[in-house]
Amino acid sequence: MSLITVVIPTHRGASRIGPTLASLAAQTLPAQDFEVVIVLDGHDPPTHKAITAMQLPFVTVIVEREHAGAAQARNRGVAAAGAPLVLFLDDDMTATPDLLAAHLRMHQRYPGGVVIGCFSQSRSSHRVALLADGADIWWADHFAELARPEHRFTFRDFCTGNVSLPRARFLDCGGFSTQFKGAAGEDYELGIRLLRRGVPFRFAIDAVSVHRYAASLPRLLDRARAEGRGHVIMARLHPEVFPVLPLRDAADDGPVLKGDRVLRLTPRRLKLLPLLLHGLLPLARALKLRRLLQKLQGSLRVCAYWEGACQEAGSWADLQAFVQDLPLVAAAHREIEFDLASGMAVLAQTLGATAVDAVRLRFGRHAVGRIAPLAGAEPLRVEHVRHALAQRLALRFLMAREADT
Amino acid sequence: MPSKVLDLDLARLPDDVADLDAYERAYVLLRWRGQPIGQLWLDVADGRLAATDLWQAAHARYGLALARVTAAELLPGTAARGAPESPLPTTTVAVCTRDRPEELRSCLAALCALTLPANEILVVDNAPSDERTAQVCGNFPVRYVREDVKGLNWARTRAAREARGEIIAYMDDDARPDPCWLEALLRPFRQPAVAAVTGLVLPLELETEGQERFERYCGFSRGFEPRVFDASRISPLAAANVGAGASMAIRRRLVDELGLFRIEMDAGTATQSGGDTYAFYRLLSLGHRVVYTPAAVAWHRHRQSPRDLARVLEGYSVGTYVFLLRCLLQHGETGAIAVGVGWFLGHHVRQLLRRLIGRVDAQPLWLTLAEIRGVLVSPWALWRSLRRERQILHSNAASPAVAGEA
Repeated sequence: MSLITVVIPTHRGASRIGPTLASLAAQTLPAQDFEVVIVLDGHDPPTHKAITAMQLPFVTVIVEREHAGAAQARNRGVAAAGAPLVLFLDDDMTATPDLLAAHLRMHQRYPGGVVIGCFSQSRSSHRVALLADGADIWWADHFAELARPEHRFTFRDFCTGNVSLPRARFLDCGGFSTQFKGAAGEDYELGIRLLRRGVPFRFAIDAVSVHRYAASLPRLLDRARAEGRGHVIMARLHPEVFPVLPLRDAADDGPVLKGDRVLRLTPRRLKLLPLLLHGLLPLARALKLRRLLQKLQGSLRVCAYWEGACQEAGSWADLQAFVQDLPLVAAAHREIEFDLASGMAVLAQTLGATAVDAVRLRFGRHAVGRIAPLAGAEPLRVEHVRHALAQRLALRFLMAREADT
Repeated sequence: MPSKVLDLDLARLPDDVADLDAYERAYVLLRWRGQPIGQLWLDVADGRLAATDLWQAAHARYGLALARVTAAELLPGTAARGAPESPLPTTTVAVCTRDRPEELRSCLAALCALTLPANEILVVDNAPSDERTAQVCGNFPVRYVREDVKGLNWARTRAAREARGEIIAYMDDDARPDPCWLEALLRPFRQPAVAAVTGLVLPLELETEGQERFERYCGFSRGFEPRVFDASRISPLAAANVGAGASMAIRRRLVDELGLFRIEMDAGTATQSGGDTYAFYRLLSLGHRVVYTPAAVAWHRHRQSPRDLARVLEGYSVGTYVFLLRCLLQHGETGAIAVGVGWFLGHHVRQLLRRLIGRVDAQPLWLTLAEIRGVLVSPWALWRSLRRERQILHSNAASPAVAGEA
């Protein structure tokens, strides 16, 4: 029996799937220990042909009759999976030879949780793009943050590009929501439910895949639009995560564009601004004015995001009305007070025994500070507290300690 | 007035530092249990440096950093929750040298005493005029390669081709690494997105005015906070801020793939410097990430005489403007014009004016003039250098350095 099932949804991926499967055929994990389920999202003979032509014994192909989106396809894939663990991989991801083994190692070490792998962008796509589009830099920062021991995992760390978890946990939660058709964010949404059920997240820096993604501005803007839509859906389903979504900006005086000056976005501006920004792009490209280009692209993405959000909500006014009732700050379900004089070991025990999302710290009679709740985050661990005490609260911690002794 | 260079660990501070009679000032690298946290310039009184003064100065300047390390020590660490630390990549340390056997000897001695030994140490002897370098290498467990075409970038490229490690770490022959230099330099490579890492380079000695001036006007230190550089954080044209070629490590395959070390640039050619800056520019402009880590300390012996200093500063000027010209002409970086003009007005003209109105802390006139001379000759230097490149390439049909150039 295989140990892990790789689930890959694909939509018209005949040209992409080849290198992905080839990389899975070259794993250090023996071929009898894993299987691959490819879900064709919609009737797609060319892709089917491309897969069967490779004659890989460990591959199963499932065909969906209608194009129903990646969430539905992944759910089908897991339903057909035979192994106790599932790994979600995209059809444009090349696995490094150790990928599956690295995921398995982490699950053996810490059973029962989500293991997040990391990916880099393939460089060939980069030289075409010439000017860094920011997406790959965003990912590099993201993974650098996940690698920190004090990182507090949130639902936004659950991305379907390269992530594995026990099949049972996935099924317990009910799998991916299929409400996100045409929107992005079904992975985040599942992340919220997993964390709420107490499923721990872990990051495996050695589980690496390479994303063969040719970034282009239209694709980035489509993505931003889909995120805008997805975040509205997410806020409907889980209002408690609203404070950490960019959507929150709508709750104050309305969204803004931050440049050298702050520009408030209004429905009219949201229509006209992209036209102007698009007009400036060729100039910035021709002169290689990176800063300007970055600003233009960034602003276009913000506009696209809000465009998507308005589409999903119905209109600008509907969006404004919708966000009025949502919470603006993260709520603490369980906040405790802790005396640091009793030692970190006791704190570790306390935090291990109950899920706590905020803590007020003192040393003896002297207050040190508070670690605030974070919407959609895992419960506090002792590493989080330790890091806060050694950085943000260092002076106050030392002073309180000094005053107490 | 010479300054004493001191390397002091606040966790193991001696009572007083004595025997400083020959010095008026001391340059102190402050550490906490080995980790560099800052630097201080202190006055030496009666040939001593009192521990209390040192503590006071350290707290005044680096109080928050000290509070953080103290707090971290009071809080026992917990077992790592993630994967066990993945092994560090394999490394070749490359030293490109030319006719400096004595400097090389102390450099190699330090490289052989690293806490994490390199998988191999490679010495590229660049167009030597005698056998002394080869003889020095005979005394150390190093691989010796002789490269007869003169030019630092040519030697760096050759080193990358000869090396077997996944990472190639370059160390200047006139620098000396700390024992944990390599370990610190390699740690950021655990993240796949990191393409290159640079380290902190400090003065080995400040015995002459020339050395003091070098440290003041063009020291290699980039501060004591780790930094991440990429095109979203810094303009690739400001690549000089990323670090110094005296202590840098790069994923080796990128050297050839991207043509990082252009053979017509840097020491040994008319352009005199700027090869490392161009390499960082290439990396940043293609979306790669470079990390600066002050935990990787190396000590560089600056040139002693004022004449050498003027020559070096002129060389840096030539290199900087050749770099900007290249970016403009070859890569269409119009921003290079603004950077070049801005630097000329903001640095050279400003220093000139400051000197003319009699500011004491202004750069000496002869140094500024040397730098301006460098700016003016840079187009000529680029042209001469490109002509030489063509000649070399003509005689060596398959060139190493241009293979990756698009």
